[in-house]
Amino acid sequence: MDDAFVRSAALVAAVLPPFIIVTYFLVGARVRFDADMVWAGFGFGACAAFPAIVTAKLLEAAMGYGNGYIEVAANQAFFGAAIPEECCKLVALLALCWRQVRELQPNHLFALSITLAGGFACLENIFYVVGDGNWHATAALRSVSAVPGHAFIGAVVGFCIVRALRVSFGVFWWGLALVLPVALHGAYNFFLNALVNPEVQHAHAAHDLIQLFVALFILTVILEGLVAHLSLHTILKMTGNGERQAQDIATTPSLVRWIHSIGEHPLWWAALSAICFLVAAGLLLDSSVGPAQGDSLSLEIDRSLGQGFSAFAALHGAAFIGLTIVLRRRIRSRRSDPPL
Amino acid sequence: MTGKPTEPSESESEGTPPRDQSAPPEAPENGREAETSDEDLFRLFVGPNAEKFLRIYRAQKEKKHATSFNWVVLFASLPWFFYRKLYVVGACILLLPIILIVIFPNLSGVSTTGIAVALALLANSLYVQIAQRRIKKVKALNLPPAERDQRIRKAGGTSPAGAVFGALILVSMVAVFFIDKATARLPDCHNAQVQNLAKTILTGILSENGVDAEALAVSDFKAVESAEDGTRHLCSFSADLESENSTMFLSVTWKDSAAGEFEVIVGPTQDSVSQ
Repeated sequence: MDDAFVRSAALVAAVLPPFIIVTYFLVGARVRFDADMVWAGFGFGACAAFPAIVTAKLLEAAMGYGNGYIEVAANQAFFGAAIPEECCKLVALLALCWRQVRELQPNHLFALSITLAGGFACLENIFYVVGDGNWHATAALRSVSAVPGHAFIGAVVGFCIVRALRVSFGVFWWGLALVLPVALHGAYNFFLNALVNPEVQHAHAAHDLIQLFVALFILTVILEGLVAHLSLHTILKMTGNGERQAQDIATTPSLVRWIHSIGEHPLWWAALSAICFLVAAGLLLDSSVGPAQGDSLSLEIDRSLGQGFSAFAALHGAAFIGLTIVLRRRIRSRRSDPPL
Repeated sequence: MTGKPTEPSESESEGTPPRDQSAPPEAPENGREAETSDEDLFRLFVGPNAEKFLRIYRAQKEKKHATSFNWVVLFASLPWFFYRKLYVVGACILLLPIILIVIFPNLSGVSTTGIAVALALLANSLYVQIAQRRIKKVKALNLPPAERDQRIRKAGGTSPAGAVFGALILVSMVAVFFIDKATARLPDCHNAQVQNLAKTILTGILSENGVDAEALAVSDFKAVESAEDGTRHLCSFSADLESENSTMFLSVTWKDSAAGEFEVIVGPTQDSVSQ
């Protein structure tokens, strides 16, 4: 991929999904685009990738790969990815907002955690997508799996920290803010790493094992999304209508106001939903009638995963439809509220 | 903190000569009080070492150009920007070059000394500009003075945690560079990944020849010879299948050393795996 234009297109394809997911949660959590530290969090998250890389390399050197596909997949998933990445993201979040953490509104803190995770996912996506010969496929697949996966885990972290600050047994929630993301992230990577390891195809009952890993991978991603949305719902109840992040409109630059109004427009999310359903249909078609390359087991992995990614895209479409409905209700309630 | 009281004290008014009604009003005094107030707010915002930035602040207020060289930024720009809570600027300084190199890989050889010097020259005046913008934003909220001052103090100041995080990122980037250089060694015969690959390849070969290789076990990996420049390893290993034991050979060579990709060839003799 020598053409700068193609690389630029790949860069846009890599950067757009994290921005869309972050915007989705900002709008859902009722946090303004220009709220304090939101985009600083995005930058911090991207910067956190570097200490995560170093930590992963050091852990890998210390732990080694191990023997057998289970041990290799687990080491790569937890010591090579989940533990370093989630630890560095948590450190970055606390470095950003530790002094104000008790003063921030629950929805604001929740959104900060997601934008930080989104920033991390953005830089990671750039490294994976740009420079990949098959960048459009990589971008499409990662946009419905890895990128929202990071955002969902960010939601879990934000929720746990909010609970830690507002309820008793705070230590329990602080611990959960680290353990739960590591577990979810590790599980996601473990099933994928195990599937792509050639040894699994020669394992005992390989066919059943592959089906199990694919099913567990898909379930992990769906579970992450479910937990993230339940967290959002709980955070909004904790925040309440009157405590929304307030930012004086007069001091907001007009460009930001314009971007914010687009982000809160139901039509935008309805359009994105339609795109997601189209992508889902495309992935499903591709996995059903794709060219028969490779041996039967690797073909089976590709087809099962393709169906899984198709389901992820459809769920994204459903989520965007949900946000469209929520935004329409908010607009209606704003119109029916008596003026101040 | 926010300005001198406008009403004169009793002792001052007794000693002050009566004001001539025809004389023009004393406007400069009020202007100077407002300026002092803004300067006080600026000091409040900056926090430690505010004096360093005051010269630039006063010059910018008079629409004049002023710069000063920031030695800390020259050597540790990211920690400084994060310390001064310029998070977005700091992140852009780190990430924009990476994005440019991703789009234009040929730029990776470009020297960054000039960029570092330019940053060191511009950092202080950029900080003063951003400080003024943030103070203006808070003032536009028309808050009571105490609350306004608190908001300004919170919006500015320093962040030691940010500085530490910035330093951590800087150290990490340097460490990534050296780790990549240090770990770019061809895996040897005892590397688990090489051994797994050897087993996988042998299993594939046997399966292609119609042999059920589910019970294949490989062990006893030994180095036979290695190239002096470390670009090739020749190993022997033992392959056991259904009580039949064979000595096999494998060679490990770089496929793409820059990307860390290597390839393994397995065969029954040394010659069969030599390239």
